[in-house]
Amino acid sequence: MDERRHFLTVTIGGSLGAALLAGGLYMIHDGIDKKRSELAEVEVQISQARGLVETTPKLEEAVIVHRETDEAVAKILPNDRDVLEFVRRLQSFAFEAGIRMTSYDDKQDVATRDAKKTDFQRVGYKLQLQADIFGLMAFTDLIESDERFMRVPAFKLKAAPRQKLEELGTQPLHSVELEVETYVYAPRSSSKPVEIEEYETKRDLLRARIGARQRELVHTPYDYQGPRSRRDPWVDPRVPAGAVQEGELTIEQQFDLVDRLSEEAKAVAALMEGWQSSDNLIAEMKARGELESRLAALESEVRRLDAEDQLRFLPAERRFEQEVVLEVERIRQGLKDIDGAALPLSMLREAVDAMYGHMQRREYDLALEAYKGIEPRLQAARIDELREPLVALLREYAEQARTVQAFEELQLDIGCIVDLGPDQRTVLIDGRSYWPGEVIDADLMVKSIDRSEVTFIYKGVVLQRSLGAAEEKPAPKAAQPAQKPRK
Amino acid sequence: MITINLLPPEYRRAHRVPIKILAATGAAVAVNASLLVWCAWTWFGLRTEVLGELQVRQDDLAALKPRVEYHKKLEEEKKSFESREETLAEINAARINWTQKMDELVDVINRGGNGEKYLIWLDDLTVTQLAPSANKSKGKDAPIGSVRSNGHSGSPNFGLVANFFEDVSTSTFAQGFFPPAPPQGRISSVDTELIPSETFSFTLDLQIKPQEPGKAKAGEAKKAPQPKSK
Repeated sequence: MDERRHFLTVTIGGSLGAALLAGGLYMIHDGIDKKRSELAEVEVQISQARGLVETTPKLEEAVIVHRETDEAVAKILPNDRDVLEFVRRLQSFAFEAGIRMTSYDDKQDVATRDAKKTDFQRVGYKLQLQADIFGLMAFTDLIESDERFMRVPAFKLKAAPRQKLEELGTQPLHSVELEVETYVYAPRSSSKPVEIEEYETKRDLLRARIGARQRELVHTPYDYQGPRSRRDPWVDPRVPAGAVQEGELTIEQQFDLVDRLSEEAKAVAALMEGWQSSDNLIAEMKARGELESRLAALESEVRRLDAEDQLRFLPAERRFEQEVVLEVERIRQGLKDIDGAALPLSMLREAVDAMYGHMQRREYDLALEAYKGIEPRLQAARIDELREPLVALLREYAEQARTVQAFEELQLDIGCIVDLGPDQRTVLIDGRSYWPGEVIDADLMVKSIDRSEVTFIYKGVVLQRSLGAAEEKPAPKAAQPAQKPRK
Repeated sequence: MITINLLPPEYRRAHRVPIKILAATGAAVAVNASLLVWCAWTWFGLRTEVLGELQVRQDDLAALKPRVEYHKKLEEEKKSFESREETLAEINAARINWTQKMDELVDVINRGGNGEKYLIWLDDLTVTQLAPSANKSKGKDAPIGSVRSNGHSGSPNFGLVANFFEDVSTSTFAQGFFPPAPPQGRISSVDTELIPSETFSFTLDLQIKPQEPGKAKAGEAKKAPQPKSK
């Protein structure tokens, strides 16, 4: 019996102990599993945190770029409302565009409607102004090109009535109602900027990126070029049928006149092209001469038309401006530009040769004609050391030719030469006797007297005149003919 | 019945633990001892190792925490900048440069010459543009505003109005608008005191297209105009 009890005691006790130990073991493992899952969770968190932290440098860079470019953004959308500055700016724009502002109304409804929704508040103004279309465009261009963000969400333009146009006789002003809006940045929650270590160094490394971003924020506005001789489409271009009074041109006549002048402008433009493509100096001089004379005539006609205000019909007037006035200005400017450039040496040498040849052949008119072709360019052209002697020679030849021509014009009645022996001759001019060296007038002096010729010095040029020249009027020759220039 | 062993002690059988009990006891001791060792190993070995590892990881995480917070603050700051720029982009995307549009319209009208192609003049111009948010309820393809103008053609030939409409449709001015409705007009009363005496009245009505998606991306439309050198 004892043996059995013992056996049972040992078996049951052993089993109970084992069960207890197994239970304890299970609980320990359970705890370990929980810790393991906790560990896994922490590892995930660590991995996420590391992943996040790895991108921190890039984020820092992005924030630095944002901070540095925020200045540009702040100019577009300032943080302060600053309505007074906004109004002042509108007024200065109106002044600059030359328009008349008649009223300003604050659009309060705009500000209150949006205030609660975003960090941006709209500030709006309703303006009433008077302007022609080009003034209005100049004004809106200033608004839309301003560095501060401003937009024109709506406007109404009512053309000036036709009667006003007839009464005023000048460009009428239209009535315009214009809305202008801007936005101000008013953040509802403000956060302090995070302190970034070694900010300056990092910023310096990002200079290129910041610069690129700032440039990206700034774009080129619309390039408004002004009226450019266009008519205002809000002005009735019709003309009164009975308005043509005596001395005034009918519409057909106005168009005919514009047609003629337009054709002439085209012809002058063609002459200019011909002049530019001339292959030799003579052709160039001839073309330039014709170009100058026809251009001058055309300019004179343009000035006369402007002064007389004969073109009343707007389409005719616009066409005149576009096809004639602008064309004449273009040709004149083209000539100035060409004349302003340095003359080719070959051209100068050719001109000197041509004038020398004319002077030798006593063709003073032709010499002056040749000079006339090149003279405007001598005045405007850049003269350097190489060109200076040639230009001086050309001017000297021209001066000599003019002096000879002026001498020819002089009315000198040479009566007779009284020969009293060698070096003892006197000449009777205009009834008075003159000895060599005697002055006739301020520019004229008797230099020497031969048997049949008298030599004068006229304006520094030595010239001869034969006896009885008044009747025959022989071509006097230059006592000091032009010398062949050294090339 | 009581059994009495009367044999002298030296002859009596020796008293021994029964094998069964011995075996049971041995087995119990062995099992329990094994379990105890296992418990001890699990507790002092495995559990301690896991706890140690957990502690190390938690320390690592704690070390990373300030950097994570710093990162989050930076993200917040970046978001605030981006929010400002995105709003600016949205606002700017809805902006139409009306100077350019008016300039282009003036160009088109002046292209008509002296009336050979057309001679057009206008009485008014009304431009309305909805705020970007106001259009959302009407659908993405709904017009965001309109340009309307009453005009005249200085000719009894209505074909010249068609010429004008054709030029409008093909010009850069028409970009950003739905195509205009076909021209309609009526001849105005003949005024013999004016040249041209007969004119056609018409209405030019254009609807503004909504901003195409993608054009309002941040960074594209948020550009500020570069000040002009006057």
